[in-house]
Amino acid sequence: MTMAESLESRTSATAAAPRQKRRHGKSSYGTSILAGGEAMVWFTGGSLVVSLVMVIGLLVLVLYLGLSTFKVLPVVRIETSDGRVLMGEVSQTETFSLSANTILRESPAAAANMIRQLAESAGDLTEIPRQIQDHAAELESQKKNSQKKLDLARTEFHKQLTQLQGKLHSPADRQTWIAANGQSQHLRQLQDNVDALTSQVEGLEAEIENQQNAAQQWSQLIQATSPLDVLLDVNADYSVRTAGVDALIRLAAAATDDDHVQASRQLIRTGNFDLTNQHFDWVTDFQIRENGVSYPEDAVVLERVAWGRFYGRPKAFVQLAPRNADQLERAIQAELELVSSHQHLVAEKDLAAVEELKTQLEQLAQQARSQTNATYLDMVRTEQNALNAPLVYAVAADGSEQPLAETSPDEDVTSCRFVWDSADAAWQQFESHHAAVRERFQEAQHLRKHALGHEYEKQERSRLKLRQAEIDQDLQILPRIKVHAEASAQRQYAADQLASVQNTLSQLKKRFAENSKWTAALDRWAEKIVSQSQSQLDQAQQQLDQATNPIEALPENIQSLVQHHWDVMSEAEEQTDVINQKIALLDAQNSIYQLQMVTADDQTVSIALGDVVRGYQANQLDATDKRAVYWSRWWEFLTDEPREANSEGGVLPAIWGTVIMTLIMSVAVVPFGVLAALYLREYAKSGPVVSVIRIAINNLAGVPSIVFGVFGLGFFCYIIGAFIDGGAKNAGFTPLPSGRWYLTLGALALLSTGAFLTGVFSMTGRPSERNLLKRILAPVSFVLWALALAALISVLMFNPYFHGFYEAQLPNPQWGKGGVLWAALTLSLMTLPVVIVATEEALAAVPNSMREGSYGCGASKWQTIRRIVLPHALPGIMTGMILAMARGAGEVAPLMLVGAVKLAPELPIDGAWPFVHGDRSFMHLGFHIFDLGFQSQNSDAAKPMVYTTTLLLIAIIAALNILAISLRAYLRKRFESRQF
Amino acid sequence: MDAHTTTIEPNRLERISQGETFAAEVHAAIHREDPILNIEDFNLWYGDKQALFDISMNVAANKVTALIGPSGCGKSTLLRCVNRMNDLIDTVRIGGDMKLSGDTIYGRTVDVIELRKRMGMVFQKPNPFPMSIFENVVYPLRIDGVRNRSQLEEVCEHSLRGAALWDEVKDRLSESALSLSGGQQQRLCIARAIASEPEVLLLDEPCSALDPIATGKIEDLISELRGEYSILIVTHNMQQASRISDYTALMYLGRLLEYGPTSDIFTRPILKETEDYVTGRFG
Repeated sequence: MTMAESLESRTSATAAAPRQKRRHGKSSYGTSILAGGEAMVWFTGGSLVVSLVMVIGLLVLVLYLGLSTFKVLPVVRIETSDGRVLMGEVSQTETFSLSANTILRESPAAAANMIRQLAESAGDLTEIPRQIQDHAAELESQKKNSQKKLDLARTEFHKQLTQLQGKLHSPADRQTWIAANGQSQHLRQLQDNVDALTSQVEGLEAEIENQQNAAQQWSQLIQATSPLDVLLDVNADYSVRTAGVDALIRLAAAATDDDHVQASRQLIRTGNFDLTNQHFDWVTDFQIRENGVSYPEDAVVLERVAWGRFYGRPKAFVQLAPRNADQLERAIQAELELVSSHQHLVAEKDLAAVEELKTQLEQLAQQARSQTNATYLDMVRTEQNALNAPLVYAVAADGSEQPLAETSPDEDVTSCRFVWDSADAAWQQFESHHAAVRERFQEAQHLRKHALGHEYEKQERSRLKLRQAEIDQDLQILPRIKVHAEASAQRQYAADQLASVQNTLSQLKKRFAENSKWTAALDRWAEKIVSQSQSQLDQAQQQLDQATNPIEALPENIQSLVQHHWDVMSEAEEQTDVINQKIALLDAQNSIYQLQMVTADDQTVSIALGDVVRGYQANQLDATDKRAVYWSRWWEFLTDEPREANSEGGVLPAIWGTVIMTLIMSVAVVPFGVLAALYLREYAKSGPVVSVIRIAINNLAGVPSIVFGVFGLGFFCYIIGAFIDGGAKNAGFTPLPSGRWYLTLGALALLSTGAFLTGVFSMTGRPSERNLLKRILAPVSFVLWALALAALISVLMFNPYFHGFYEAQLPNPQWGKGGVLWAALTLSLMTLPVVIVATEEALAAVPNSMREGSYGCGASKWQTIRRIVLPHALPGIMTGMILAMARGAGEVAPLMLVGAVKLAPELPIDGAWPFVHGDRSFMHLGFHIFDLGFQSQNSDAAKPMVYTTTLLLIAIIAALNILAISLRAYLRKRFESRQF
Repeated sequence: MDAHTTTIEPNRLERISQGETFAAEVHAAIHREDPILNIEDFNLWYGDKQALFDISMNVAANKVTALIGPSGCGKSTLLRCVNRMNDLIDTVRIGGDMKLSGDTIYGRTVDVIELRKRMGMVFQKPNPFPMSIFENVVYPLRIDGVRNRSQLEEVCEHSLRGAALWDEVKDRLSESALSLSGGQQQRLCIARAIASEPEVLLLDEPCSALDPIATGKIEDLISELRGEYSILIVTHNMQQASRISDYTALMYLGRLLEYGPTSDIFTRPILKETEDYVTGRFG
């Protein structure tokens, strides 16, 4: 459109020139199109339209692709002619041109299928030999063409060669040699060309021979058998067959007046990665068996926590009823174990007695087990009625199963399984249990991630405190504590062991108290067992005492610190045990449910309910259900954490990361930008320096963002961050000796005082009244300020007494690595020019009459700026902020260097003090898009997520902008008409 | 009154334009008034270019004094020197002094901010601040840190009444000042200027951006303010000067030509040039 417009305007411009000349003579008006301005209206309007179409196109594309990612697709079941069965969603369809190779590469059945289809549309198959011959003739003409080119190339080559040889034979001077060298390179190129053409011609010749041969064979073959049989004969000569199929394709194409025969293929999302090692599979149309496409009613899609999606049909639902031994059974079991494990301590004469005792005990154990079994099986029967479960199996210790009805209490039953074995019943059971299981699963996950992490953090903090003391006092504490802790744990273990042995023995004695013939033997044996355990305990105690000594040698205050550390550790360990018990309970409650699924190719897979995020019967959903699934996917996307290497699940951490980083960036950039612009516009006297600064600021806006990233990494992370972590040494500076450092400190005090005094003195009075002394002192003050600044920086940088706030945890950096604060500061540096330029423009737009009016009322400069200039400029400043936010929020390149990561374990903002954690690395939507699109292993599944995430990023930036714009509107209102 | 007729050099204007300086013709009536503002041998340069030459004049207290003269003669510059508005221009240098009620204006220790608070200024174009009417009027008090609501309201009403605007705006004090008409805006600026009870009111062509009706209202207002405030007004409009002022000073190319009671200047000036100017023969 614009091309046409510009052409039109150009032609009219050339046409207008002579007309204008004529106009002078005739003094007539308005024949030039340009003069009327119509052409420019179309030209400029056309440009606008093109721009708008591009922007709208972008939005529509992102909206369409982004919104369709979570659409619920039907599950298709495809049987191919070679017996493969696929089940999944059609995610892409594409067409391609058929060739003999693509057909014959397929399985014989699929190839036969396709050949039959082609044969139907091709018409007369006896044409095949002629067709092959035609093709050979075509190749012949191609060959002639190539031969001609080859001849030319050869002639050229020989011409050059003789020339060169001539030159080399004649007496050679330097110039000739150089020329000859250039020529020989040219000659080499010619040689290559000749070689390439030769091999082309040779290839064609071979092909022609091949085709002619095939044509000959074909004309012989079709006299004996039908052409179709020849084509379908898998034992036929491959080249003959290929030539035949190619000819067939050409015939079929000719029948439809086309150059090629198009076939289409579909990309099926088959899931089941754990079984097949692939998420997607291509299916070509002619591979599909007749009536091979179906949409099974009971097909189910399961979105799992790991391994991606599962496509299959429910087979059975299993609920376990584990059997728990009762107290008596457990006690006897423990006694039995003790007896068998300490048999080597039995005295010779007591052997017989102990053996008897053991037999007796085994009988008792059997009795107890049968008793428990009876109660257990009764309970299972009652539960079967309650659950209305169709089938119950009892599982023996060796894993064999039998129906409950056939099980007697005497058998060794370890658990029972309730089974719903029809697809519908299984699915029904799944749906009724899934929500509760999922809730428990998430609770357990939450406990694992947060509660345990919290306990670990407490221990780590306490350990770091000790480490800090270790560094401060130059003592060995942690290794000693480690030895002590190990000894202490061993002693505890030995003591527990002794107590349990004693307990079991006393039980045993009580159980056989009435049988006096064993009492004596038992007593003697028990004494030995106890004394063995006791000696182990004594040994452990001794080791503990040895380990305690070095700790008692530590100073008093450190000892109390160590005591505190132990308190913290033991409390944290207790808490950890409690949490672990909770988790174990939740896991146990979940593990009794299992869904058995059968895949398209009849493999049976057991799936734990907790691993299923979402399951639905794709082909039975009505519109409402589909919408519900669609929106629940969106909800998950917006509120959950990512899984499956970011290609599934949600992006909540990335949303938070983006928003927090942008907000910190705005908070950092606006004050600096506004103050800088205020100085430049309101205070600085215009001159070459200010002009240079202004140009530099504008240029800063054009620096590639990755450069800022490099700067942020080098300055914020590796210098400032490392300095915060571990002082000068850690940041790579050599600290000054203390004497020189104090000297610098003194110099700083002197310089800054001098700079202040001279500055104040030189600034007093009207500029025109300043005498020579003051005029000299002004630059002196400036120089003093610069020196004072340098002194300040060296005092901070080379401080020998500052060892950082996180010295204890070095070499692990806390701030000396990428983090959300450093990222925000890097981006605020990048967006600073935007804010400065916008603010300067806003300040310049404040009418001078306003300022004069304010001064006229007796306002000082700052009062004028604060009450008149700034409120007037505020909307402009906000515009600058909005631009900065929009630029910063969408920036990715520098973030990759200063803290954006694929997967951040913790949000940069949470409930733990100090709530905003500037040191944490974070996820960012922009980086997330890059990661999904280019770093993902499962790129076919990740691609749709790229668009969805893009849509989200656009929406968030739009939301931030709307927020800023409404804030601007609010401020504008507030400052323009203050309420009475 | 002073009836002596000096022989008039016919080419005085020409000689001034060649750089000569003459002592101003000052009518004796001035000396009988109480001066509030004394301008003493005042010179001003914009960089290298001298804009005011040895101006000496006393401005009478509680009277209206008009500064007239052709464009570029330095009227506005002189007026802006009174409250040191020219300090804002970096290249300005001055010589001589001014005194407000005997206090020096260009002394080394003078606090410009305090000085400006003793004078009110109204500019050529109405320049209300983008705030409510109320806030505009009490702006001088706000910057003084006055927070007492009742005091602010009292001053607001008093100033608006003084500027003859109260009846028009009393019901919409919280509305934006920018919603007022041009004449109202200029009277609002006058109200703002008198809110801090200034000793001198400086008006820099206050009517030049207004229509005749608004101009009339402002002129009425100036007549009402006469006697209460000492007013120094710059104007292009000779009729206006003759209507509202008690004294008139004629300036030309940075020099004071003649200064005297308005009636004398307009009816029997000492200088022929003055007569030529007020009758519109030059300028």
